[in-house]
Amino acid sequence: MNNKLSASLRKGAIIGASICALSFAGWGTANADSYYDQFGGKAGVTALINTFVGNVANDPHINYYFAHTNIPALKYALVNQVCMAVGGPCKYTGPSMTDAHRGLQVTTAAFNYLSQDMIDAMDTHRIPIGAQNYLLAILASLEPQIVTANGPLG
Amino acid sequence: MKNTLPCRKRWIACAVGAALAASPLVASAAIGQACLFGMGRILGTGAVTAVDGAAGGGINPWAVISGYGTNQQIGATAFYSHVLLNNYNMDAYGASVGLFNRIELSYARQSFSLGNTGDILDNRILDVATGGHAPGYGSTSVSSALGLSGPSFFGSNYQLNQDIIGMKVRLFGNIVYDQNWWEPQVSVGIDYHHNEMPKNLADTLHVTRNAMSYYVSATKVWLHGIFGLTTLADVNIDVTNANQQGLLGFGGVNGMGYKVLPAASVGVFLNRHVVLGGEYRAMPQNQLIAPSSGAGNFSTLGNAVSKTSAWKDVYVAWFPYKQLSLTAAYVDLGTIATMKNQSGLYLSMTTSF
Repeated sequence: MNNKLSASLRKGAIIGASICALSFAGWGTANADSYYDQFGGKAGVTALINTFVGNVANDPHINYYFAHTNIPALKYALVNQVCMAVGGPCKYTGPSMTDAHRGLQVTTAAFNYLSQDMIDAMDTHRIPIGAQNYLLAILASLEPQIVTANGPLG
Repeated sequence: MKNTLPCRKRWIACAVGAALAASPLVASAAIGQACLFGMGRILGTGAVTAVDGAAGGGINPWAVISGYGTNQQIGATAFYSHVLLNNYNMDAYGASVGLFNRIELSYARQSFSLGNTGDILDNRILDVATGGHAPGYGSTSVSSALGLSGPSFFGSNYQLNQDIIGMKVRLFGNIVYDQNWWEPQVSVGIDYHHNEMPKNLADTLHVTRNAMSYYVSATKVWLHGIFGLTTLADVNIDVTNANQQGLLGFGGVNGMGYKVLPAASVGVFLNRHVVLGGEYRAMPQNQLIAPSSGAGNFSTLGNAVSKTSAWKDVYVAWFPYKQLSLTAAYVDLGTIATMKNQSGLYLSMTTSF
């Protein structure tokens, strides 16, 4: 009886931990202001985007997507977009992600390689992991608007 | 440059793949990535390999599809695991293919070694067969009363082997991209188990040697989870009659013995390469050998052999790069074949390509 009880308690504890993870995963989301600071403010975001665009340009998986892109305009848009996303006093005024990527047939793989280029850039600038994840979660949630190429099974 | 060459080398494989499924090439040709075999998913999203061969943690499959293939790519993995318990050892190895981040096909072979514990089990059986008045080990037919062969049935080098063939299908959801709402990635899986134990042992245990297991797995990842760290939670429902995951056969004295059981896993990525977590997996408890209220010593032995505990572990997994993961865990499998407190070290390696 004791064994059964403790077994079900353990079971409860782990399932409970799963549910707790679900409930409390939002911890820290209210810290967008301090994340802007952790990115180094507007200057930090600008430096980050310079590194990021450089990484993309050197990434043979995806750089051909940007062969005809106006790079200064892209950097300007990205700085404002990332600055705004991490809680900075900026305003992104470009097209929606859906409009910006319409007809490009962006693949999931391309999206992921670009995400990895952003991770590498954030590592280069020693952005703390929580701030990195905050931006990555926003980037990841944009995937349905950016990736339009389907696979054979969806 | 270095990334374009392997793709060219794989062109023949791609062409073969094209014959099998023409549509993906048409789709990928549009974006200039006519390589069917790839690793376009994010590091860690292929998870590691559970002992049953499915992508997941150490003891639970998760809803992820093995390897790093995206919805336009095919990926593959191979794994080897070793479990060192107080009285037993287990080796497991196998391979899997992940098709278009939708379907996972896996194979695993498990060898569960009794080692010196086989002699101890022989003695326990002897005690039962002789009513506790054994005239000395080895001089009597230990297990003839149980229908087993030989004076020492297990001896000191006995292995219980099984093969597991699995298929997992992702139904909906994506662990990485579903960040703004609650929906987890959900998959269903089927495992076919074939246990190689001899027929007389299976008859004695009152188990079958082949069976199917089924599960539903829901896995959720919050990239910006607890304390800003990427956090994973997985809940599974298993429908299974596998005794000790099938190493002691399937069902029991009371029939097929299918049970609906919960399992769960959690994990926290300390950085992009290291994840810490824990797992729980309930196991069905079927009565083996003899009815619990049956004739004296046999029911006692049956009860002892039937005793099953939930499997638990705490693990750390390391993903240095996509091609490799290494996992170490402390596992607690409870009582196995009369031996209590089967805890110990679990080591596992998965290669992806």
